[in-house]
Amino acid sequence: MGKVVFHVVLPTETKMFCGCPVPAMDEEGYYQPGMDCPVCCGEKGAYPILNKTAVEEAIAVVLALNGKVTQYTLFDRVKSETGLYDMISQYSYPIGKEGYVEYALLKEVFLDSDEAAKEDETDLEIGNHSIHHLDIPVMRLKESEEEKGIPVLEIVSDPIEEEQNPYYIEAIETILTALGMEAWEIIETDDLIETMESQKPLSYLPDPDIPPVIISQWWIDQIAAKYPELIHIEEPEVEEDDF
Amino acid sequence: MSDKIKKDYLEELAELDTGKAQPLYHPYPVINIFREDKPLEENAVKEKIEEEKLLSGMKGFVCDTSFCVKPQIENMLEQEGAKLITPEDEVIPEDAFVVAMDSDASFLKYAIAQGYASLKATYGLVSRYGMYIDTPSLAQPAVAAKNTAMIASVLQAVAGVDNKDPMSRDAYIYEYMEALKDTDLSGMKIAILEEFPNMKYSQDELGYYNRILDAFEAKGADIETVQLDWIEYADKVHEMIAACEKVMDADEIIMSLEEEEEALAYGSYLLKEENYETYYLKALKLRSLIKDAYDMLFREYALFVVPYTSGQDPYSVAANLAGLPAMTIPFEPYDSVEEDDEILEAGIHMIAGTNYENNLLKAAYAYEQEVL
Repeated sequence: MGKVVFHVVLPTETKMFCGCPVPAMDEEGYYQPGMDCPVCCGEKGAYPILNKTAVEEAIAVVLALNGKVTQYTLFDRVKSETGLYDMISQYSYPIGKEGYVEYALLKEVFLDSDEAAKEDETDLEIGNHSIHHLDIPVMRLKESEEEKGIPVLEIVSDPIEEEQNPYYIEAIETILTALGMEAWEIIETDDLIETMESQKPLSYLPDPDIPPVIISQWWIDQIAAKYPELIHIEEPEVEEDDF
Repeated sequence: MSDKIKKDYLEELAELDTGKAQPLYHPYPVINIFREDKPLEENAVKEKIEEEKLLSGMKGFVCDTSFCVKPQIENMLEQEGAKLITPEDEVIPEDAFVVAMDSDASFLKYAIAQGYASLKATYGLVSRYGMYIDTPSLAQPAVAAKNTAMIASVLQAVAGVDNKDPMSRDAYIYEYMEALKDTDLSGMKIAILEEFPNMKYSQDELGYYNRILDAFEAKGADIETVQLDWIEYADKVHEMIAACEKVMDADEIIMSLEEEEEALAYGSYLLKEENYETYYLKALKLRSLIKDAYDMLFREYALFVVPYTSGQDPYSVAANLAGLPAMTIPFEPYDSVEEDDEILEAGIHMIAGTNYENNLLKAAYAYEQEVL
C-alpha cells in the first residue's frame, strides 16, 4: 500500500500571488529563471494577492474528480521541518476533499494474458479510488529559486494497492488532459512515506495577509459552465494491450 | 519555554470558557480578494482634484519602510505635496509628522514621550504596502504630529484601498478636517471604566485624566461608566498572537535581541502541535471575544477613553487585537514643557469604532483647543 501524489501546475499566465509571468519550463521539466518581484521573493512589505484563475482551475479539478469543494478555505503559512519547503499552502483547509475516480480494472487472473482479456471482457471490473485531498501548495522552495510562486495543485490519494497505481494514474491523467492540464510530477510512495506537503509542518498558521476564500454554489456553477468537458469526461478507454 | 509566569497565565487562559467563539484569524471579514491572471497594474493612487495639495509645505518622516519596496504611503504623501525627510540622529523636527506601523502601541508610546499626539487608523484603512511588519494581523499604520490638524491631513492623504495590500478595504472615508470645525461634543457618548484592575496609575496621571473627562463633559459629551468583558486578557492574548506571527515571519531566525529571541521561542512553543489548539487557537478565540465586546460597546458609544502610561497595559493593545482606530494625546501641553522639565510620559488613550477616526479627531481637537 502506498499513496500516489500528483503535482499539477495550474495553467496560468502569472504566478499564484503576484503579476510575474510563470517562467518557461525546459524539456526536462525544470523552470527557467524568470522575473522576480518582491512578492514572489517573499520580501517584507510586499503582500500576496490570490490569482483568481488558479483558484478557479483548482475548483475545476475538484469537480472533475467528483470531489467536494470546500466552501470556506484559508491559506496557511507553513514552515516545514526540513526548512526547505517553507510555503503558503492549504494545510488545514484544502480546496477539495473526498474525490474519487473510477477506472476499469482487470481481474488479476487475466493480467498475464492478452488473449484471455480479449476473450472475456465482461470480467472487467470498475476500480474505484478515492482522493484524499486537493490542496494548492504554492512552493517557496529555498533550493529552487525558479519555482517559487508557481501555482501547484496537489492531489493526494488514499492508500492504494501498488498494482493499481498505473490504472489510477491513467484515470487522473485522462481527466487532467481533458481540462488542458498535465501532471508536473507523480510521486508514488511505496509506503505511507510523507510527501512534501503532507509531511507534518514544523509550524503553521493561517496567513494573516491572505483573506479567506468563500466559494459559493453560484461560483461553482459558473466554473462548471466554463469547463463543459467536466460533465462529459470520458472514462479512460481500456486498451487490451495495456494489460 | 522556561518562563514560569508565562506558563501560569497560559494555563489560566486555557481554562477560560470561550463558549462557541470562533478563532479570529483576520481582524476584519475581508474575503475573496483576488487579482486577475495578468500583470498587476500600478495603482492609480487616489485622485485628488484640488490643485492645492493637501500636505504642501509639510515635512514628513516614514519609519519602518522596506528596503525593496517603495511604500505606498510615501507615494501618497509625495503626491499630496509633503516633503519627506530623513531625520539625522532620529531627531525629528518640531513641525514634522511621523508615519509608522503600530502593532503593540509602542509607536503611540514613542509619540507620547516626544509630546506628540498620535492616531492609528482602522486596520485596512491605510495600505501597508512597503512597510516592514512582523506581526501582520496586528499592525496598523499610525501618524504622529504635534497637532490634530496635521494628523487629520496626513490621514486624509493616505487613507484608501490599495490593490497591492489584500487587507486594505474599500471603506467610506470621512472628510477628517470637517471634524475639526468646532469643539462642540454635544451628543457624543463616551464610555469609561469604573476601575482599572491590575493597573497602578499615579495620582498625577489620574488627576490629568479626570481633568480631561471634565473638559469633555463641559463640551457637551455624555460620559458613562461601562463594563468591558474580556479586556483584562488583551495584553496576554496580544503577546501570544504576536509571538506566533513573528515565528512564521522570521525567514532565518536571527537572534539579535534577547526579547526577540524570547518571543520566537515562545511563539514556537505555542505553535507546537500539542499546544496549537490549547493555546494558539484559544488566544484567537479570546481575540474574537474581545473584538465582539468592543463592537457591542461601539454600537452605543462613540469613544472609549482610558488613561495611558508608558508601562504595559491591556487597553492600548486591545485596539490592535480588534483592528480598531485609536488615538493618544499627551497630558502635558505640547509647548508648555520647559527644556529642563521632566515630561510626564502619559496621556489619554481613546478608542473608536471601525472607521470612526473622525470621532477621535473631534474629541482630540476639543481637548487641544480647550485644555492645552
